[in-house]
Amino acid sequence: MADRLTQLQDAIDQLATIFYCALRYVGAHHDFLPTHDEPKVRDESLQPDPPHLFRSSQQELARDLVLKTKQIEVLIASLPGIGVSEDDQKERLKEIGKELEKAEEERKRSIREKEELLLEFDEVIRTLKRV
Amino acid sequence: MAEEQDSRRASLFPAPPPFYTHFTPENKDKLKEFQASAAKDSDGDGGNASKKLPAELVCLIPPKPPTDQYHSFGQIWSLPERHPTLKELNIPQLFPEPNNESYNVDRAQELRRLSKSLLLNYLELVGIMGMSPEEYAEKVYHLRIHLINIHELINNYRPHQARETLIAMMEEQLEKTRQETEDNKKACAKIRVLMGSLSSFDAGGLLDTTADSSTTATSSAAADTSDAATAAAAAANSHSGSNGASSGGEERDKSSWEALQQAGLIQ
Repeated sequence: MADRLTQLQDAIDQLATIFYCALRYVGAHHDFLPTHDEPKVRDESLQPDPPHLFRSSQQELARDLVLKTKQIEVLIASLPGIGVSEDDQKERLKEIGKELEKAEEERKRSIREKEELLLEFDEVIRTLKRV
Repeated sequence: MAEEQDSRRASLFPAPPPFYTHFTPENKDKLKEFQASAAKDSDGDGGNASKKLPAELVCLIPPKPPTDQYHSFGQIWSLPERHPTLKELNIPQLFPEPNNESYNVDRAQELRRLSKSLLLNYLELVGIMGMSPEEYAEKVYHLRIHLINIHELINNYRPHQARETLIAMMEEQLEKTRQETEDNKKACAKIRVLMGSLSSFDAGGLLDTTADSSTTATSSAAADTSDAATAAAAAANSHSGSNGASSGGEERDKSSWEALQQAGLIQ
């Protein structure tokens, strides 16, 4: 999974695509309404959808738009490290670095202790064997 | 000629530059000779050696690395490499310049503001398309500017996120290291307890079996030499050491080792 920022960028791009799709759909599939008693205009390049389908498609597109916008808002709200300044981060990094060093040293010491104990134990077993 | 050069630069796999034919062993030798003689001359008059260099040898001397900017694949790159600002790209900037304090709070706020504004602009565009479609250009331009600005803002955010991710990773590492130390300490404590119980236990249980084996063992001088040095601690009944006894000991050694492994003390 991509990180939050990439997700956000993708969402923005998708929003732009939805913008385009919505306009294009309305442009390509709308029907004409005659005014007064003129004959209904026809355009061969258009394939009007039946009214109920057109209506539901419109609604779907609108829903997509709103949904994507909401998604973008959620993503913005969940961006990592909001309210933390760069200096805070650097401070924290230094702190963790020191702690890590300390912990690593302790870990090495514990490993050494374990190995020594193992040797000792080995010795005990050896003496047992020779008894 | 210029067109030819353009097409060469624009093609996917450009032909090598025309001067590559100058890189011959003879020319290299000539260059070396020339430089040697130039070094001798330069004691007298400054450094105008390159002026006297024959045309076919000029290309053999690598040019100095660029310090300001350079062209690569038809694009201009600045040195040191950095992200061009919106102003440099002639795109209006819709968010305020960063001021160090509370920058990140602002950034999220700005993003939210821009995304709202983006939607509003779209709404206006749809309205315009309904009324007078030929006036779309301005609104589309606005949408474009908004999108670019949002992307710019997000990209500026990336170093911040990178640091944040690094912090999270280091915290995880810290947690892991501490856990391992803790486990090691626990294992050590277990071994100590076991060793304590063994020292009080072996006198009864194990000595009985060795007594058993010592009765079956006939004396053997050969074994003594190898074992005597190390077996001082167990010297009390150490006239064992015959083959039979030692193999029995190995068996015991092995079984106690397995027991230990089962107890999870030895990895």
